[in-house]
Amino acid sequence: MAAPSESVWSMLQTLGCSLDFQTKVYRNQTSGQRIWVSYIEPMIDIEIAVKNIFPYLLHYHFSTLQDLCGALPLDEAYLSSDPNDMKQKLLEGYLLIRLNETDETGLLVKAQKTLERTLTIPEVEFSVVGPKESFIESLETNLYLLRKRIPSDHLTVNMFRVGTLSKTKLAVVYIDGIADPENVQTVSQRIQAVEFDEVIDSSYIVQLISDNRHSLFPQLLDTERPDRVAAVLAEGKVAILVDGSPHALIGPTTLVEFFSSFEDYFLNWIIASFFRLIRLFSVAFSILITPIYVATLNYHYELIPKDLLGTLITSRKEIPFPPIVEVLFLELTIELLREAGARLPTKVGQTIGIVGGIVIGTASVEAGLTSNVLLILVALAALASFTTPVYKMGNTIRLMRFPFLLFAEMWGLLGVAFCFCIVMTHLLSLTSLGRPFLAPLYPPRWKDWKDALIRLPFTSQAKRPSSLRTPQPIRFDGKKAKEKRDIDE
Amino acid sequence: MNGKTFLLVLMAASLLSGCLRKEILDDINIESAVGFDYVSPTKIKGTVLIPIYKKEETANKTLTAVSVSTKDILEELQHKTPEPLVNGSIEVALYGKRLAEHGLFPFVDNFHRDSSIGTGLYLAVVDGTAEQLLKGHYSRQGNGIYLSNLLKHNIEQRDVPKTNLHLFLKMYYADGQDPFLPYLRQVGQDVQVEGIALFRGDRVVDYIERNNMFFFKILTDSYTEGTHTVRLQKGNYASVKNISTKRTISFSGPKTRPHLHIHLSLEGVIREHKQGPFTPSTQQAVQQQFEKEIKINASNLLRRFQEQNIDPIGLGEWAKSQYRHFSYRDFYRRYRHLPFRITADVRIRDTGIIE
Amino acid sequence: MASVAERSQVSAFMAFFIIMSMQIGIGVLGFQRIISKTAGHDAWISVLLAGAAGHLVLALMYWLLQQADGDFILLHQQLFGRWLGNVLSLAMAAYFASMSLVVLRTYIEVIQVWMFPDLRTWEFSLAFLLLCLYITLGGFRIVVGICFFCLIIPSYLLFTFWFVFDYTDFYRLLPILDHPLSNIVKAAKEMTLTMLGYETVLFFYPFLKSGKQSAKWAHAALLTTTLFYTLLTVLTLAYFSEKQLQRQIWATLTMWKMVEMPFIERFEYIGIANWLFVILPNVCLGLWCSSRICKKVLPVRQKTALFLVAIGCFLGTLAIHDRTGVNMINSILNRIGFYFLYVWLPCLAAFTYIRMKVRGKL
Repeated sequence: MAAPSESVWSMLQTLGCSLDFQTKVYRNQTSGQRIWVSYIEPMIDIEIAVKNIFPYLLHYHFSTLQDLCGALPLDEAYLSSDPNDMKQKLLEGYLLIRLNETDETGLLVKAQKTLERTLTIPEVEFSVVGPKESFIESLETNLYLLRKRIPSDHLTVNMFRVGTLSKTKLAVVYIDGIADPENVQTVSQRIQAVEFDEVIDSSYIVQLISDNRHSLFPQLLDTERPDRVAAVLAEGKVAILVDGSPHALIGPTTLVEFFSSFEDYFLNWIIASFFRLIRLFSVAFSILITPIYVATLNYHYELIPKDLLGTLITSRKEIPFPPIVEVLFLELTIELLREAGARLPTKVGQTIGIVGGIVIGTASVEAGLTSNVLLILVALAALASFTTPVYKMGNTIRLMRFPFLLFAEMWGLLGVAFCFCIVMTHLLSLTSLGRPFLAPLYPPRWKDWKDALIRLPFTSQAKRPSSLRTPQPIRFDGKKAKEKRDIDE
Repeated sequence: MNGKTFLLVLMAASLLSGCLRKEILDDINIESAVGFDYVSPTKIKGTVLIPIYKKEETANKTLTAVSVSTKDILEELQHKTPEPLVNGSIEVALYGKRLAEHGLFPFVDNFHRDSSIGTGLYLAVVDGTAEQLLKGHYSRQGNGIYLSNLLKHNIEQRDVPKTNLHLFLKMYYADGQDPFLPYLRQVGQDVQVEGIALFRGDRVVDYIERNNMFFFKILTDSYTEGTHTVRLQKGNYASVKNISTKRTISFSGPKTRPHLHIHLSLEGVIREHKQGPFTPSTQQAVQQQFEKEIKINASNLLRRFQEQNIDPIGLGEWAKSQYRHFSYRDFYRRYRHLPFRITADVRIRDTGIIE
Repeated sequence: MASVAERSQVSAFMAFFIIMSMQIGIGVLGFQRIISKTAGHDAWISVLLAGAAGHLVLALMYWLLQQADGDFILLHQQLFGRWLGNVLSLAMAAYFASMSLVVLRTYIEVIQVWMFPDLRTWEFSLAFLLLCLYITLGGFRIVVGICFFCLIIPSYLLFTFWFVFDYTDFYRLLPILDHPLSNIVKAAKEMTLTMLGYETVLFFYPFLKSGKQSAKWAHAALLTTTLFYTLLTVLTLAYFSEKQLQRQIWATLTMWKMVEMPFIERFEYIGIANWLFVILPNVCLGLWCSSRICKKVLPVRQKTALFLVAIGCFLGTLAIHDRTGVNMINSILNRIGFYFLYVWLPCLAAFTYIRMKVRGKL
């Protein structure tokens, strides 16, 4: 960092080493005053400079910078003599205007170039029904999207800057009076304690402020949907928006939240609950099916009903590998396909997926390397792992299969149960912003189960989740929502 | 945190050191049925049926060995197979007639003791030798599944009383009941249920013929779906399909002189009627005739049991549940002369879709 | 009393889950044979009787705890002075450690007999104890969490008993009370080991947020367990004939052999694997209680004590080689549990009462 004694002059010298830094001298047409203008070229919006600044600079009659500042039609213009501040602003896209080359005071005028993509539909958390806008890389726009949905004076934004190099702007958003102040404080403290140079994305923040940084499970929910963030803010959670990242972070989160798609709230509650249960089932299926296959084929042939026995044996008769090798081979193939598909452009990725899936799958069965029963199971398991609405959780689930496989190979079903216990213990000890990760399952808060494994109708969601300890637990008058009616009224 | 990580590492290490004997599905020979036959007072012959699964159909392979005990036979047979023989999926165990008449408890006990064998295993006695029967070729599914399906279907929908390893042992160990098993016979390309083999202890002493099986089942089992044809006057007959049965066994009189009363109430539908429409009066006639047949046949069976001094119905167990401080010895001392009364109540519920 | 920090306390109703998961353990797999040996088909009455006795003892425990206004260690100290009281508490620590040991060793025995004859005792015992350490090091809240999930998750096993209904004859339970009362009581005494577990309340009591209100949950847990055992006993008695049951060392597992579903047969394998969940809270809470007592009585950290107790358990499981050994430790624990619950506790209560009266007069 620059030493406090550094002068503007030396600061400009340092910047001048970079060739995109310009200092140009102009002459005012009316007063003949010479003007030094410094800026970093790529950061400047030429149009603003030409339309709003240069006409005044060149034609307006002024004697001091103060006069000029008052005349400019821009809000963001001020006098400064602090070299650090000047440097910061220059780097952000301000013009530095001085009347003398050696002046220590200069006028900073904002002519920042703002290039950002337009709002697009959410791609990771796509939903068929419901709003179709998603966050983009600009913090201001993202905050605008939130403010638009919560036009309340209680919506509070705390700003931070993290990263010694990047100085990334970061906003902690919550609704005052609804969010537990303790949670807000935890988030603020942890963000202030972040030590890192270049914070690129919100996923950096997740990894930097999580309770358990070694855990496979993400402990803050990331979402690209402003509607989801608005909804959980209203429940009393805290959101973190990072400049340059289209993903907001939500905390404290829970395991079940990772399995609830936001689309659940757009559908009828019975359908939504059904989908949620399907998703939970598919997660269990995805993690457990291949380990159970390995366990059963290795140790527990007795478990297989007699009608299934023939099918399994004929499909495996020609396979030269033990089940575990067979499973690992297929699982890794699927992972390979997924990874290759994710790294390639969409169209090529799709082709690779189809080619890989069909050709490799069929060929490996025909070559007698894997059994077709297993191929079905592995493909289903992979499919099931993609039903998790949050991408990061899907990754966790796919990885979690491997320790289970190891244990199944070792101790059969007993090993599967054993590994389950380990995972359960790990989940029990996990916290998100200091709050239990398994809530409301454990510690059991029966009243919160209305929106956990299933989702009950909105009329019965009159209270905010008690595990969030919000100071204002009542959402709306539940009794008013449930009006009693008689027949034919 | 470090402590925990250390623990996990230690756990993983301890696990990696372990290695259990695997029984990989396609690297083992899974027995689907076994049979035992009498050779000499000390030796038995064991036959093991191994299904060879192929894409289209299942072939059968049988292996036989003669030895002293069933475990010895298994050991003997291991020499003959390239892959280990395992017995966890046995569906059916067959016993030759001669062996069954010499007592088959030792050959059931080994199943009982073996944790890998399910108690839903079907046991049956074979007319002739079990080896002969297992060597036949009956269906594309393989003999094991064929035999177990044959028994299953006859138990669930026909007139074979419920039976399996668990029930055999339950009856065998019960003081107030003697076991019975289905009696099979190979007929050409098929196997048929020939009757029921009745045991005294673990020896077969009598066989119930096929036409008496219906009555035997309603006496021993509270549920049956068998069909029975009732002969009426003038060569007419009606076939009644049984829908539900209720059996009530009660004892009256003092403990020293019990008097048995068995009440059988049946509900059925008409499946076939030879002559003319089925009028209410014929219905009456069918019901009465059926009741009469049940009474006569069931009484005959019961009398036969008394003569043989066997108790496949489990009257002793029933008596025990109705008398305090009951003594099986006293009961069976008087069993031969136990007075009994059998009543029946038949109700025809409907006559199919025509009258 | 040394109060427990609020963040490591749990709600009063968690007492339900702790006690129930602690009670249901390895005994369930085979208690039927032992009680029907003396009480025959009236064994279910013994179960109810044992449950009723349990309720009395539990009420007594709560009374004692309220008198001491703390845990059992404090009560021992109040009654017998610091030194003798601590020795008695340490005996309790040994008792809980041996409980963990017995449960673990019996489970290993079950696995070896039913699933993996070549599973080495030390291998499983080490891995299992390490898992328990991992849990217990997380603190009481994690242990309770394990109790909670390990009661909820295996509860689906209850539905599997539906499949044995086809093979039950309920007339076998008649006539009721055909056995002399003394036999029934004797069988109830044999139930002690299976019922054991609620005495842990003596030590986790300060960890409940409102201890007094937990009494109803503790009783509810005891009642549920008793009803579950009764149901299981009734089913078993109807499923087996009397002498057949005498030959079943693990009657519950044998009953699972009958379960057949279209996609799975032979449920006992699933049952045994699932039983891991059932015995996990048993061992963990045993270790926790034991180490907690050590911490309060001896100048050691709970962590150190925990490691020592776990090592003790590990060595213990190695020392027992065969069925006779397993049976022996089971019957010893049964006897100790019986004397502790039904002799020592009433004595303590009487002692406390007398002391209270005397103090009141003074």
